[in-house]
Amino acid sequence: MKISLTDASFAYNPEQLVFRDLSFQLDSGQIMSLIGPNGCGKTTLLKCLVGIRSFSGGLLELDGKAGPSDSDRTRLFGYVPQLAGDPVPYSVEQMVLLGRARFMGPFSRPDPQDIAIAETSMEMVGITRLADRGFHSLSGGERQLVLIAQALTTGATTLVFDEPTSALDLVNQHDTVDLLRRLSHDEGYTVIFSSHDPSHALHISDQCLLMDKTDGSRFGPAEEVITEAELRRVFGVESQVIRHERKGQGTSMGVLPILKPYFKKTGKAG
Amino acid sequence: MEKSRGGFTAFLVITTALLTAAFIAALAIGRYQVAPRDVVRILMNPGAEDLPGELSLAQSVILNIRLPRVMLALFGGVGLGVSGAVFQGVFRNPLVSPGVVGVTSGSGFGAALAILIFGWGPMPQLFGFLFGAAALGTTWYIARRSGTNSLLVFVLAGVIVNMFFQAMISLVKFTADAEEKLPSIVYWLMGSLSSASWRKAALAIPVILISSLVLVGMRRRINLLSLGEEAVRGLGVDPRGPMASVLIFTTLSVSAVVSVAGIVGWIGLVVPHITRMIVGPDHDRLLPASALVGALFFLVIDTLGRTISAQDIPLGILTALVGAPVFIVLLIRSKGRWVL
Repeated sequence: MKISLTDASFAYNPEQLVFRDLSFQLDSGQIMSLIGPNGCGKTTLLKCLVGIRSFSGGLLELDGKAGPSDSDRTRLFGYVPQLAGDPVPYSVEQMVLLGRARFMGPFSRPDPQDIAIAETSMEMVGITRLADRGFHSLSGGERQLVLIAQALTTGATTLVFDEPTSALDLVNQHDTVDLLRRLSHDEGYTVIFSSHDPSHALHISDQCLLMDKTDGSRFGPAEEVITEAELRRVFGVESQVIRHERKGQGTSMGVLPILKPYFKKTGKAG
Repeated sequence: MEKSRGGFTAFLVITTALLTAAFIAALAIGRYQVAPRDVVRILMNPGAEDLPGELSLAQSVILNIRLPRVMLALFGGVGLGVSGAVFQGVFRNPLVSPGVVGVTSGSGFGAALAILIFGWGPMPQLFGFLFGAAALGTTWYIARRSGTNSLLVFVLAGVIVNMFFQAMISLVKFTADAEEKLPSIVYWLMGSLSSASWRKAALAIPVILISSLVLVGMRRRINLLSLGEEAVRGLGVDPRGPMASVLIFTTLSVSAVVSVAGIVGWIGLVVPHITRMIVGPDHDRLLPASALVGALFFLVIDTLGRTISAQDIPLGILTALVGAPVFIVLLIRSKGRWVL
């Protein structure tokens, strides 16, 4: 889905502005990352986008149609929230099947087609072997995959992820980032995700929206937005952008934060 | 943990067998003992007129006195068991029951007020529903306005609403005529089916039956609602419609039980927990199973209440005596970490 957002703002009330003047354009099938300091409103922006909340101002166009309603947006976007709270104890298959809820009446049960779609989603993210496990008994990384499969099951072709890697260890972060990339490159999904790690954003995203608490938000191709100068300006952190080529396998991009230097104690042990 | 389909079928078979046995036993025992064989014979042919003298008396005792009471106990248990499980699910909160969030005392006040004004009849049920809904609405409003989604605020709000309606109930008692209405209101409020009749059963059972069928029918939706409001919206479903239906039908069911059986605490809290330990947390199985366990629990308690001493022991006392220890064990076993 082609998305265009112009001068969007959100405020709980006139005194409590969360963000304003945010704009971006994303083509179908592209990946957009969203980075910015804590409290700049990343989660709120994503919730507004998918229709859980309403924008206070601005213009949203989806495939050229302006001003889709909140409930239309909840159906057009697949949303994967942050991992939080006590996980419910249903089986993985049951959790994924709940993604079909919007196609079911209040009294109906999943039909064979719903079950087939859920199985395809589980296969796509590689959790078929977990189908009968309890959601609450899984690790953080596995839960994240279940929620992704659930979002795929809704049939939405644009997926929105709120910090999909923040609760994960290194290898699960790596796998999740690569899954987002494959969903876009191999399956054609449009992907929007927020992250605290500029490396993830730089590595897979085509476009990046860098949010700032003040009016300094920037949007553009990831390689132009995620630069040493911009990260210094927004986060106040020194960093080094790294490009790693591997013969015949392509390129990895990354950002190495340069932590505050200090003098190591050099005294001999003992 | 996931229970196998075979395990669940076994559970259904065993509970149904126990229910049948309890049903016949409840009709057989009492101050006038009837042999179980004769109970079955009378039930098979309720219209028989040519029974020998002794059986003819048994027929009248069973059909006119015990059967309406047993039916009300069964359906009271279904209503409280299902609503309790539904509440714990949609509020994502294992400490919640119709009693805890104030529906029971709100209904109790409404029904008591109606008894005071109109006497027994359909009005206590209607008033019970209206005030039960008002109590639930108030609890929900307080919890939402506090801006937190916390378990603690919701339960505390319920405690406050409960105390308010308990005070209102006391006010009704204070106003009631001490000779006639007060004793009947007090006795009914402690939880009692001793005044059960076919007339009361005809008013309450259809409401409980339909509400419970609707709730059990919506069990997949209740799984969905238990994910929380934002997650439900994120999946493209507006939670307000199903949530409103769920709350209306639970309140209808609970207020119908309260209007005939008074305030019977604990069943709505304890039955879903016991059932969850057996069949697991998925509402697909938990709701039908809670209906069966609730019916069995209520029937056994009511039958004990009317047989272990010469006088009927109020249900509220017995359910608390059984429910409190069970709940303490559950609380300790959970080690403070509740899983729905």
